[in-house]
Amino acid sequence: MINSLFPKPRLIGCCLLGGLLSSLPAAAQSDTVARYPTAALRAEATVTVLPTYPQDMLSLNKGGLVVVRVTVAPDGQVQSVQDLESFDAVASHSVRAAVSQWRFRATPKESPLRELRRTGKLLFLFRLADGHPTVIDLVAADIEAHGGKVTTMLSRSSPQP
Amino acid sequence: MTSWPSIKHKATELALVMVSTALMVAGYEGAIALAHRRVSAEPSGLQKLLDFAPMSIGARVSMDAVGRGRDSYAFIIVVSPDCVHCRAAAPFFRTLIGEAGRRGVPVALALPDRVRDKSFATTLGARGVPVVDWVELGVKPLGTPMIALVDAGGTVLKYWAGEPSQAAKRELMNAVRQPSAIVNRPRSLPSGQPMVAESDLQGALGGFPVTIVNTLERPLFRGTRYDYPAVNIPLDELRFRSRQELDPAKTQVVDCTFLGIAMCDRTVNELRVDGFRVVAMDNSGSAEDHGGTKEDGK
Repeated sequence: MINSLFPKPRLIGCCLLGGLLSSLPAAAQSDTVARYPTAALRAEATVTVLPTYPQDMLSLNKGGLVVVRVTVAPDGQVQSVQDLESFDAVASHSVRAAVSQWRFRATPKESPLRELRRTGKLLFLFRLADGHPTVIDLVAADIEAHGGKVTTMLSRSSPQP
Repeated sequence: MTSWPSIKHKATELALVMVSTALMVAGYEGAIALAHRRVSAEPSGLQKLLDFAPMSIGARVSMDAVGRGRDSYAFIIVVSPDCVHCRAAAPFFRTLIGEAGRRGVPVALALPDRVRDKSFATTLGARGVPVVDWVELGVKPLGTPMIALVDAGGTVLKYWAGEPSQAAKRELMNAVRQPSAIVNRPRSLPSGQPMVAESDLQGALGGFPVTIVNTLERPLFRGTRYDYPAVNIPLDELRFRSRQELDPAKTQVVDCTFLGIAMCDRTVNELRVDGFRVVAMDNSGSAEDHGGTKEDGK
């Protein structure tokens, strides 16, 4: 009687194991983050918002660099922005607020990498040029300097010694 | 007529002159014998040392006394309590021995007489470190103090002679942290750019103003202790930041001490592409003026 009400333990074990195994690839895929070369990820940005120059820094004549790591979901939404280096906490906050609004190209649905999140660095230079506050997106400036082409370290030619 | 004591005295003088000449002929630094009078007073020990080959690159140190033949590398510190420079460098030797102990790198201390000089060994923090007599090394030290890096067979791969300079101290600390790097490190980058030791930089640059650039990732840079100020720009950010942050009027010295060769080469290339004057510095295994490595046959 009891045996007919409850399936055999071996059967339960097999079911549990099967369920666990089938869920593994999905879990592994959703947790996988592809580290992009800095310029390559920046080139995939479709909507960008430049950080604002904090007023406090203007009066203090302060400038410097903020480097953040941005993680992008497969649909192109920004998932997280993490400080890597900053000269000022207010400037970091300004960068985080701006980058959170960025959008990136979504990974095509047919792509085998459709579940992958992407991560890369963004660099912003806060500078007072002739008294005018300027925030430079250094990676974008580099891409622009190369005629819109994304170059990598290896593709940059080396001068003759 | 000359008296017997006078003849004896003259004979002793003659013997001393002969010994001094022998020292010079053998290339042995007379200063060692003069500084270590007690060794000179023991003809058998001195005679043994004179017969030995100089403790230079390629010489074989007897590892029986050192007792560390099974390890890949070992450092042998040759000192004497009678040597002023050894006493001056004692705090550094204590640090070096301590660091080697933490890293599990074998170190042996060579003294003129390990029984007599026991207290000096204690001063150097040589607790648990093998202490041997000079003569037991089977080679003739080039001077004191002297530090030799030897392989498992006792072959001298590199040595530092004389009181270590600041650059030599840094190089020695790096060598203790990674002895293999000092032996296997190439002398130039794949692009042909030579790598110079920090101690050679002054001569190479001739007083030009420099910026030391370090391209390690931030956590690695923070985790490594540096004795000189360096600008940390991770390699993947260098092309975006170099023109903004580095002064083109200065020579950029790329610190390759803790970088792989490929990474160092890329850093140098990146900066050269951006128009900077670049020098690659490797403080982990380059030869110094007062030392040498097996590779360069100094």
